[in-house]
Amino acid sequence: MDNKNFVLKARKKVKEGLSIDDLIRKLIAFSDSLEKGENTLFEQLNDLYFLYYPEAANKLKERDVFIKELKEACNREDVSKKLGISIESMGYDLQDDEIQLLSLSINEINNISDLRKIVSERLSEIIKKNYPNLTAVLGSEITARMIYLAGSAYSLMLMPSSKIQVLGAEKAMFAARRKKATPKYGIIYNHELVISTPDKLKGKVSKVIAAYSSLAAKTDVLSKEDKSSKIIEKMMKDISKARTKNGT
Amino acid sequence: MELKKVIDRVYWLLDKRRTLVTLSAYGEKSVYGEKIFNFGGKIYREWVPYRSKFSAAFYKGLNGVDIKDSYKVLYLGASSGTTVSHVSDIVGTNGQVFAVEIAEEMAVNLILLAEERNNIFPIVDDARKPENYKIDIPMCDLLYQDVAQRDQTDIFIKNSDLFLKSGKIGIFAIKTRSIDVSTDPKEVVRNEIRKLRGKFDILREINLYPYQKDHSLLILRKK
Repeated sequence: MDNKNFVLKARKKVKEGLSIDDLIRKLIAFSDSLEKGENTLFEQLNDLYFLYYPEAANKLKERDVFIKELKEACNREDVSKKLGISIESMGYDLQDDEIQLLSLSINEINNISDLRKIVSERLSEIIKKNYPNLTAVLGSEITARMIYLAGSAYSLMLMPSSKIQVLGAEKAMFAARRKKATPKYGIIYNHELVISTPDKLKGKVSKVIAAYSSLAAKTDVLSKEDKSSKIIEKMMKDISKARTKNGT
Repeated sequence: MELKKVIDRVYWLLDKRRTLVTLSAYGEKSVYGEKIFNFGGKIYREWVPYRSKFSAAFYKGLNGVDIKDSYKVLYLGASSGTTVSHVSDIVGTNGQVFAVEIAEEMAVNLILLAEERNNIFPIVDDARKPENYKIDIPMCDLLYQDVAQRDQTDIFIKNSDLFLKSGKIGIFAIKTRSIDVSTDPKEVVRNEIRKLRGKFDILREINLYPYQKDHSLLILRKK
């Protein structure tokens, strides 16, 4: 018996089995890694720059500001003019070669930062196009993360809304097996409607949002129609109900 | 260095420490980065216990399984084909390894492996639904299962009913964490054994610690 037929059949199945969800999952992991790398590199580089010009490094503790101010030039002459601080520094005097190395590194972080922006833009475009209902309910970023955590939009659709509500809070969920209370929200906590709700009612609001994201996921996966305006309208009604019931 | 035979084509390579190796049936190419030994004109591949539960069982004292040349093996949960490559070594070029894997990305490596080793027959399908691949597979001499699923015991029973010859061996890697996280692992294994008793004789139960965490390997004989 020859295994050629098996190989052909298996190859075909793999090709058919891969979907847009896999792309979403990989892109979100990639974008997370980029952000992580960006932060680590920034920390180290800021530390390095501190040695040369501590007065400036002290002012540029924010990552994006640091990159923006220093990406053109990072020697003392230019930076002191830009930031309006004294050129007299307590720092260690570096050779031109080392200063060049610094500016090269800053440019590299800038590139990574740009790449991350492009990746997340593209990601949100993909999400919006493929899952319009979920995007309307959750926003593209949380939708992407939900799909990432669930594995695929299909398995997200199969989940009960109570599970969607605590998706991303697995640690707290397992802690709840021993004594502690169950978590009220997972990554849904970052939803703008949850953020704008007073703490006491956050649990309730996230419950409503979870219920509607479950509905939206089912609409996206099964009917593929864009019924977002209807869903949003109903959701807003329920949310305002949940908010007013306790008299806040 | 000297070789000590464990079963056909599986040896302990005795040096300062012992290393489990299989006699390569397909040349000297390393499949997953394992070491290759050239000994007495023959090529042996290291079988790493941290990567393969089957290998870990040998390190934990398993000294004989009914698996040899020309055997037909059904392997459920083949993943990227690490253990499969060694099983393919053991059954040799006349044997057949039917490797079932459901995750597409894992299956890619398996398929690429099968293109090099033509005794591996890759099947991208759900082991829960053996009726899907029933027509393709003959009765087998060995059933090996390593799927981390809650219903892994049911999957094992279902597949052994369809594909395993009676009197032959089934090897079953239980991941206790997948079945129940909150109960004691020993208790979980005991429960699963109870389910299997009707159809199998339990020959051995091997705890794979420290090579694999929360895993036990059961060696069973179909009644």
